Amino acid sequence: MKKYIAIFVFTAGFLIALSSCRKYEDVPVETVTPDYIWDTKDSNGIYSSQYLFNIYASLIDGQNRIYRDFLDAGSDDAVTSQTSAAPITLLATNGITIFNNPDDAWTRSYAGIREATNFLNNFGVVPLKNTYEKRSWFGEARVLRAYFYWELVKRYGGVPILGDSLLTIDDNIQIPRSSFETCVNYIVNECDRARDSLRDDPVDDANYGRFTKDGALALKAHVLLFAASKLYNGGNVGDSLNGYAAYDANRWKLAADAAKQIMDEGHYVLQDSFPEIFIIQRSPEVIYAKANTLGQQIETSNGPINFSTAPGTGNTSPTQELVDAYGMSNGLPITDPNSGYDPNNPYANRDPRLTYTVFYNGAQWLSTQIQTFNGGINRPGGVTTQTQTGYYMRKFMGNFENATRYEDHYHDWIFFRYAEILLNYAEAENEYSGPADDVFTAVESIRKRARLDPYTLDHNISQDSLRTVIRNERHKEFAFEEQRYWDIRRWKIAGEAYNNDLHGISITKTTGGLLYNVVPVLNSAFDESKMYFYPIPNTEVLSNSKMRQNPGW
Amino acid sequence: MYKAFTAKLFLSRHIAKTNCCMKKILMLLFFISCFYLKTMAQQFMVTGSVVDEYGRTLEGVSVTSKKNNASVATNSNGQFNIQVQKNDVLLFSCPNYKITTTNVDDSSTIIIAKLTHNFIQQNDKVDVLYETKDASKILGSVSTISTNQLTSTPASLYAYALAGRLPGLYTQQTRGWESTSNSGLLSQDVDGLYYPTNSHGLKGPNDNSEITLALRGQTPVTIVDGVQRDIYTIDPENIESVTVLKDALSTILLGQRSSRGVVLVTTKKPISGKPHISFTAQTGIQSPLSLPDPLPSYQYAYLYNEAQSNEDNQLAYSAADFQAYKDHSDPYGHPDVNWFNTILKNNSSISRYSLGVTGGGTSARYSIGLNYLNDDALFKGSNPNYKTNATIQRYTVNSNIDVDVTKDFNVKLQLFARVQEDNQPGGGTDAIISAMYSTPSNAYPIFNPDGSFGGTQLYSKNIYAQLTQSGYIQDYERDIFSNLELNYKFDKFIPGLWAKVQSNVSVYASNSTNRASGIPSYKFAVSNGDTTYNRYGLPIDQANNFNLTYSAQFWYLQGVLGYTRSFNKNNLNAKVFYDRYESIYNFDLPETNQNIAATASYDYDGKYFAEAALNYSGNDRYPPNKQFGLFYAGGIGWNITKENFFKNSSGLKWINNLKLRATYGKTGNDNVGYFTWRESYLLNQVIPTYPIGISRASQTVAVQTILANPNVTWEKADKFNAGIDAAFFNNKFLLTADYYIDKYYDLLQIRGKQTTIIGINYPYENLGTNRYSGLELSATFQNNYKDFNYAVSANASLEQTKVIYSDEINEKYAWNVRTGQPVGITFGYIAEGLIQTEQEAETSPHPAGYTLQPGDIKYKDLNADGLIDQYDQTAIGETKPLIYYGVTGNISYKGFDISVLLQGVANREYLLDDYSFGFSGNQQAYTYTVGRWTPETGTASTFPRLTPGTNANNDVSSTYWQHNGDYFRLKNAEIGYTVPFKLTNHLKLQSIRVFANGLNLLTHSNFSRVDPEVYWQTYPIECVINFGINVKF
Repeated sequence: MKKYIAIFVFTAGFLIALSSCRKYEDVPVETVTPDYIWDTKDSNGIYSSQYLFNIYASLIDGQNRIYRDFLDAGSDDAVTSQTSAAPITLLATNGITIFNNPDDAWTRSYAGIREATNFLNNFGVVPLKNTYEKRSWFGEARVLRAYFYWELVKRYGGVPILGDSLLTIDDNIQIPRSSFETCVNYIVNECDRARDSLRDDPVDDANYGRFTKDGALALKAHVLLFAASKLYNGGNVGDSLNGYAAYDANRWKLAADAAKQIMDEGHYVLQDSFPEIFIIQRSPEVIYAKANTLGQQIETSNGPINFSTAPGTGNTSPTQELVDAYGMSNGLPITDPNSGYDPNNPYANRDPRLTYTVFYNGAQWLSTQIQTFNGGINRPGGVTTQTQTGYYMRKFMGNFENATRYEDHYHDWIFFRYAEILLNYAEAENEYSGPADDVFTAVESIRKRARLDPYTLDHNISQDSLRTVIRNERHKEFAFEEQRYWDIRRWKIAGEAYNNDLHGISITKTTGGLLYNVVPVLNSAFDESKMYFYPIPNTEVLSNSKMRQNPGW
Repeated sequence: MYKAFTAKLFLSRHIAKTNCCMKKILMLLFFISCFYLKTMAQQFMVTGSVVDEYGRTLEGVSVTSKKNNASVATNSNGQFNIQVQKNDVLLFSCPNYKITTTNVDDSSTIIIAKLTHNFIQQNDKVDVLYETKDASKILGSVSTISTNQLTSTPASLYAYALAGRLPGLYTQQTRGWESTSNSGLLSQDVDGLYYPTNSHGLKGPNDNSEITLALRGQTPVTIVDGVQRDIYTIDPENIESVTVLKDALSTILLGQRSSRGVVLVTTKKPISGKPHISFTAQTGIQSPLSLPDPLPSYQYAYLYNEAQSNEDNQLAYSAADFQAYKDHSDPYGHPDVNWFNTILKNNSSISRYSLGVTGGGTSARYSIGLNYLNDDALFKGSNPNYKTNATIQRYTVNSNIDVDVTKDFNVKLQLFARVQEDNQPGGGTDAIISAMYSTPSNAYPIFNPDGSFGGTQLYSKNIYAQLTQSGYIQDYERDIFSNLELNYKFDKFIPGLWAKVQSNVSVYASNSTNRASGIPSYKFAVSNGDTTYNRYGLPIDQANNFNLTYSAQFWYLQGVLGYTRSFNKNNLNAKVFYDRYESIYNFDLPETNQNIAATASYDYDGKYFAEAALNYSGNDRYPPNKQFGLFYAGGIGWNITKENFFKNSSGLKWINNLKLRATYGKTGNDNVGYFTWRESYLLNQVIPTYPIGISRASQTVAVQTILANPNVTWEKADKFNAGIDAAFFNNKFLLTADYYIDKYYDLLQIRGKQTTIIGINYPYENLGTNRYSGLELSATFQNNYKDFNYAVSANASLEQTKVIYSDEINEKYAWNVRTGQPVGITFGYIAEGLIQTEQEAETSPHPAGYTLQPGDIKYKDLNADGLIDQYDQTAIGETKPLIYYGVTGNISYKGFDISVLLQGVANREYLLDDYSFGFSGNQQAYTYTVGRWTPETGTASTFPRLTPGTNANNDVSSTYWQHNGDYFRLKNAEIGYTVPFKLTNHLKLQSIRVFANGLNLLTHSNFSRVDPEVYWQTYPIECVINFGINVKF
């Protein structure tokens, strides 16, 4: 009997031992606690550098970013080719609501702000050997944080500024919005502070992709240009949350000075060839770009359809409005009777940038000519996603005019390039002091690079005429670079840009040649009483009693 | 002597029925009858024995001669002697067995009677959590079904057989074929890294991807022979019983997992005796149900043009196109392919074989179950080099050894193993099915004139090529568990003291071998007499990738010290309990659950019952020092029929049992996620990445995983259950009713009053409170007319849920509030039909940025601001309590038996939003699209106006797309014939039974276009007709 008790006890004991003597780590070591990130012993700061790159990675990349569309497919420059209700269309048709906004930046911007603040608050303990680098990392986090605030301010007006506080789960977050002025001042000050510690320009090749002194300055110039613009400066649609109380010409001066500072430092020059800016490793024109690895996404997403060896889904359909913005190669607008524009051969002798921005019928591509006449190879009809306007987007693509297939190339998303600085300066200086020689010089340098012949302007034109030229130059130069969408807002011309429908071209092939017909493609709309500012997401208003909604929403 | 004795017996029966005062006359009659008997028909003795299905002798079976009205009982060897007349009939009856009759011809017959079990069994013992209990002593809510109700369902999982059979268990089939994952594990595939895996805390491997089970609204814990594993692939032939445990007291030993209820599976245990073998072979035909009707190309093209013109877009097809589609004059340029007929066969086969062996002596017993299943999918086509159809081949083994080492020491060892090989075409089962639904009839021809596969840029993957020419993918799954149990009785030292140690180790691993390849498709075109073939896609060499797709390991240990003793009429059962359950999934750190518990139950004479349990239960995924919590449960019961007043009342004799019972307890659910209490960062992440330098060197990044919730704790529930068990009319009519009210609180939810200004996602927090209450009824009537046995059993469950608290944003309007509504109710717009006129379109409320047109759905503008937005959404789902029910009937006569199961659900609604031409506007359309709105059809239209792809107004959740989900099915039916034992006995066989059964035979639902359970685009639900034979020897 006792033997069996012994067996029972022994076996039971063995099982218990088997099951309980196994010890593992208490917490997973691959997910590390904050003290690993802010490692007080690592003189290379490996993990904190990884965390800094995470903040960079939070920046948006504008390429097909809104449910496969460019933001500018929500401006008057293009429409989406998607047959279903594409979210981008909401932006051009009064479709955004307090519940639904395809370009909502609230969550991702505050996420970036939190990451940057976390870095700024904690990185100090990391004993980075290279103090120049350590200062720069601080500056990078700071300018990134300023950039995230700018993403918010240009969409919503003044937003809550959190400063250096890092909110916790136990905080009952009831924070009011700061005024537009406070926000702009905060961003500008942060840019200045960051600039002090950032790397000098031009940065070495290994650190290309990091914010530099001029990057911070470019952001400042960009912000100040907006702040001086009509929407905020004199044309205020709301109260102090949405702009300044009264017009102040000096704001143009601040904007012009910031741009001039970069021009004077002379670290950047225009890339000689316009299409090269977007596809080469490092253009001398680029002040800050979010680097991307090699690829052909631009082509596969936006390339004309039905190239069997080079498949593209033709997502973006540029409008007739954009095409018409491009004048002739002699620099004259197509509306000018002397321009030589022929409506029956509309794409001949145009501003060369048209060819680098838009595919039109007959354009050279992949060793053949684009066919966007009705029934043509690239506009066959049927269920396939295809151009809605008779045009496809060409910009950012590699030079595949005479190739047979797409190859990988660089396609960085450019935040600031020197051409913008020149045009920012031209616009601000023209507003502040009227047509002046250096304004013409700045604009002409852009036109010269574009290979307009002659590129020079009549130096006797009025301030208003010059403004029209500058705005047109911005339109042509920055198509699909997320400038036009914001420009028509800050200039307060969105009403006229959207309220006349958007158009495309319908080309019929007849025995007598091609017949061109401008046809409406989108019944666009813009409610000027509220659409100049995005609505604050409804959940923010409902859960934060101090959050005030924008006017009209 | 015998004769006289029999006569006396015969008479005494009459006496019992006669008035006592006639005794004297009867005495006289007795002598007269003695005289008469000699002149009556010849009487003689027969001997025989009674056995069960396996030929095991049965003791205590009542044997009655029809002509003599004599009755005897079988002895311990199952034998009997009885006096009969010529051409007499013997009737055998035994509780829990069907009444059987045998004809007696002459005295030379040695009768062997074979009894088979009742269709619905009332066992005295019921398997409950970690033990077997007297049914009469159970205080909680427990329902059981046994083997014969499971085996009639021809399916690959026993879960199919549970539908409609157990009160409180709601089932919904979600697919017609298993879903497998073929992608290799990555180190970031950590379970529940960012959040709990789902709101019910279900995790770990689960071989059931086809049927969703909900026990009183919760996903139950599945326990197979004491092993916590979600295994649904055990062959029903191997299962002794499936029990559901629904109340707090029945599940309290699970501690932090006790909230969810238990599906308890008990496999067949060894039975002593000479080896008994049972072999079943069956094969069935599966055919798809509820497949939609795709439109032929010309109709498709016509409707597509209409959609384009509705949107002022360029028309896609010309009149010439229509004609070519219609007359099929250009099969390559204008194809018309029915992809359903191209891809799917009309039927496929399912075969199962199972062999069970059990036997042993008095001190050691064994049982072995072997099973094989071969299940074929419906795919057409083949490839000479490899198998392309999707198939499941499953082998399972279950073996038990049960040894009484001494009278006091018992050892049980169980080994269960499953090996499963699945095949699917290289294109992937799910992808092919999905393409079959979405590809238009006119997309491309299957083959081009030159024999190559057709395709276009948009539809570059030819479905038929995906099926037959793209290699294959195999999955291998392996389950093993071993279960060791030691029992020791210390009666010699302290009477009533016993100890039990149970330990099991369980592993699961699955991997896949991906041998998929790719073949390009070509667009054939002729222009100006020049033939071109434009290629889409690249030829891809056959891959050979081996992927580990899941790995899990479980260690379990249980130790119990118990004391079971009766003092006079006081019965006491007390125990202290410890267990430890450690699970390791993939890259996760092990998770350990521990329970330290004490339970005590007491009853007085089977009349008054009381039971209580305390469980100190912990899970090491919670923050240190916050890992253990106390859970408790208690119950009381009263068996009224044991009261003297009841026993003595002759008017209440028809009531055989009437027991009232109630339990209450606090339970837990460890829905914790993966170390969510700890602020942590993931290092070296490649997504997102930030390339830097002109070389674009990719920089890995460090990301914060989630905002830590240092206060996270287990979800809790207060559960109350009250029930009544009753039996009437000699236990022929049984009734059980249960009422429950379960309050789940501290439920993990993302807070509603949140702001994204915080800059990081809020974690799950213990916020919510839900209430589930309901009523469950089951009634069984079982009787016989002579040897015609019949049984009907019905059950119905009613389930009402309510959100008591959820952290919601301060909603502007009362109708936006979810608190107070049923749990998980659908929110959407209230549709008011289709807009008929231009004028109506202009004046109706519309979504921002959308211009209404006639044929669009009109919605109710609840806040009357002229816009249709989230403020106009309200609860549109069903608010009445969910009802689900099942009715089982069985009749048997001689060798024949028939059983049916009707199963249904009421007060159910579901949302099926339809896009015309699919989400992206270039997909297949079906015949129901023809009912779209046109000016001519007007109010008779059954579908909104057509637009290509999603429409911002029409394709949103609304009552327009809400369908009544009520249904009832003839879920299962079986007819069987058992060859007379006389014949089988000649073959030295115990029994031969042939049978035919079916699954999903008939369905009635209010909305019949789709199946009420599997209504989305997935592998179809199937009707199965199955034939088989069972031989026992």
